Amino acid sequence: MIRAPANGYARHRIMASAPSPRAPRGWSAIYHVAAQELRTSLRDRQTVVNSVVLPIVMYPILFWLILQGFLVVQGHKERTTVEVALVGAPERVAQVQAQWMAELDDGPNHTLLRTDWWPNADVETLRANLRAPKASATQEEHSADRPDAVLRLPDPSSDESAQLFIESTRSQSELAGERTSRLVGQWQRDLRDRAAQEKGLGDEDLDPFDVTSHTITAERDQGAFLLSLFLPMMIVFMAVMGAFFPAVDSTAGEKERGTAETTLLLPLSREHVLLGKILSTSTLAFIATILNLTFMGIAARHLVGTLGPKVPFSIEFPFLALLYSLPLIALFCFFVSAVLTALAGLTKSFKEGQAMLGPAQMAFILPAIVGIMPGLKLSVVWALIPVINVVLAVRAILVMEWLPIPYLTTALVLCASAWLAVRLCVRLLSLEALAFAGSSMSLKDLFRRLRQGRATPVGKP
Amino acid sequence: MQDPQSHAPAAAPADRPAIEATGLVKTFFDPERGEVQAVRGLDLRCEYGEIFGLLGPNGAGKTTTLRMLAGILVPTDGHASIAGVDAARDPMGVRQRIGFLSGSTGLYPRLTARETLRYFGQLHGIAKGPLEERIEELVEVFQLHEFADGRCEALSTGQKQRVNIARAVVHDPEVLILDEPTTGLDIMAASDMIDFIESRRSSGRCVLFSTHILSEAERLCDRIGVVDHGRTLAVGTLQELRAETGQEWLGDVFKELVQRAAQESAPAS
Repeated sequence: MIRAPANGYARHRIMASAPSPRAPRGWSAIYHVAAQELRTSLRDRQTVVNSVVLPIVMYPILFWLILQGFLVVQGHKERTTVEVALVGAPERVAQVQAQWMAELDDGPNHTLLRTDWWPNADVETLRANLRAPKASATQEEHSADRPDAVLRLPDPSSDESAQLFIESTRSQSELAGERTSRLVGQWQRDLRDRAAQEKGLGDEDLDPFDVTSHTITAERDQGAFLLSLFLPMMIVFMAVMGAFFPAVDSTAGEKERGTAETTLLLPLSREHVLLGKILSTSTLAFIATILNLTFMGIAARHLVGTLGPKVPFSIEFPFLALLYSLPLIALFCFFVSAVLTALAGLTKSFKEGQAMLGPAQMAFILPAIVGIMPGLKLSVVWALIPVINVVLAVRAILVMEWLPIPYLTTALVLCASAWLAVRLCVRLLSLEALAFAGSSMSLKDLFRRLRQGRATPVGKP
Repeated sequence: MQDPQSHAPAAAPADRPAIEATGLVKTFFDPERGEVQAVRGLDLRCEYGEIFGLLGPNGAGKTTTLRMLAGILVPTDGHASIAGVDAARDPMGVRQRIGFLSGSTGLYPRLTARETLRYFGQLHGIAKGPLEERIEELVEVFQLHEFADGRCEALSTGQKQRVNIARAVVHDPEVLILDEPTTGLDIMAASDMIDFIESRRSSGRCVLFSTHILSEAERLCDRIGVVDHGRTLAVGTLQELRAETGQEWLGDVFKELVQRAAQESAPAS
């Protein structure tokens, strides 16, 4: 089975008794590990889908679905036939019915008026009969001939107001309410105009002047402002999402695949191996974030273009602003990757890793939501808080605000956070109790070991 | 299955052993059980050109000992060195000088066999040209041609074992440490592994391997160290162990040593 060695053995000696001086050190070692991790990650279908495919296709598909859904719902609403019962004072009912029938006859008649449903009932009876029967109701109650909305009209001589009854948990009843409100509004305006005419008053007496509002902000800047409200939050979401699978894959996944000990045997320091893993994870997180932002911007622009003049702003993809934001985004991706890699390393399988990182994501997402609160602006104080600082900084960059000191503070704080996260990651994942296949540790156990000084590192970290 | 490099005699330094361990102790902390002593003062000395077998039952502390020698576990006490390099002080230096193979050193499933060899070769500092030649050499000798460019995840157990051996010797280490290398292998793959271990001795390299398969130890080892409960019970050639215990078969030798150790420790406890 195995071929016997032919002549020509030992064409050269690779190594005798000392390590090669060419062995990679420092950044070169980190680069080799990162390149290998990246290569293996990009061969994993789940990582490719999550970090590359999803960011490219998610928003175009999502926005297309929103648009199609909107059109379908709109069309369905317009074609739905609803029934409105007119009850109360008979003359008023007759008058309103005659007027509305004429109006409704002009277009496709999807609103039916009826006057035979509890014409003289009091309010309580109307409420009780309009309400949908409970699940336990009889067959007769279910098939009861109920309208979708009821308009109760008072006697013209009384001070009572007209009342519209709908069942707000039923969409058809809501629709009937909307259409009735439109008809009532038109009827009110007609009555007002007629009364004004009788008194010799014109439109200009009823509405002495109009107010129109004008914004001096260019359509493009309005678009940039709107993008600045949600784009920074998406950066945080996507960095976390992009780092999620690679972080689990390179730590817990490695233990599950039985290659953790192989990695421990690499002729490199543990620190360099872990830095290589974090670098690879953060590269994938960065790629996912940039792809996501690019395709979200393109899709949003297309959506706004499709909606046309209904939208009072235009969306231009903020290439320049995002270019300025890239260093902060890269630092943030590195920080997120280090934290997620450290946490995923506490677990022993992919499943456990995912369960650990699921709640951990909230530690990034909640501050990101705080960061998009209206009125919040980047200041030196906010720049001291990781996650919030990157959201506010990107927000400010998108609207082209020049805040040198807060930007610099944000960058420094992100650098410090990333450094601390890397130290934490190296400290945790160098522990013997975590390094081998099948080893995991709860956070409680970890703190107990650290407190008792029972945390022994693997070799020299 | 013989490594071509192993035919090039290594410059075996006469002044120091290939592996030396004295009073090696390893204590683990288990949150449930407290302190667990896996290795309790183990002594070991392996020379260049020697195959040394570490024989012991499951749980005897063999794997822990080998991991300490490989620089991936830090001894709680005692001293271990590989080719004169202290395993606790310079674990990276140790890893540069050894080849290590065990049941838990799996191959990266999404790399090909060739990429695996290239990766390890690069990290051991082999220059590009010689590395490519070395990879071709290993592909030839370990007959990896048919699957050298396929992902490791698609290989059979025997094929994976061959790639793993090639991975362990890509840098031609002077010391090879193997933890139960034939466990889980079929007859052919186990036979290949035994051939390979034998091939390392002739060039003056040292092989330390753990096993609980007595026939393997009998066939391969120049010297055998019997360990149980983290301690060395006896070290010597097969003949020396036979003479010491008065038993013919290695199985009986092993049982005799374990029983003696149990009797000795009984009054003390």
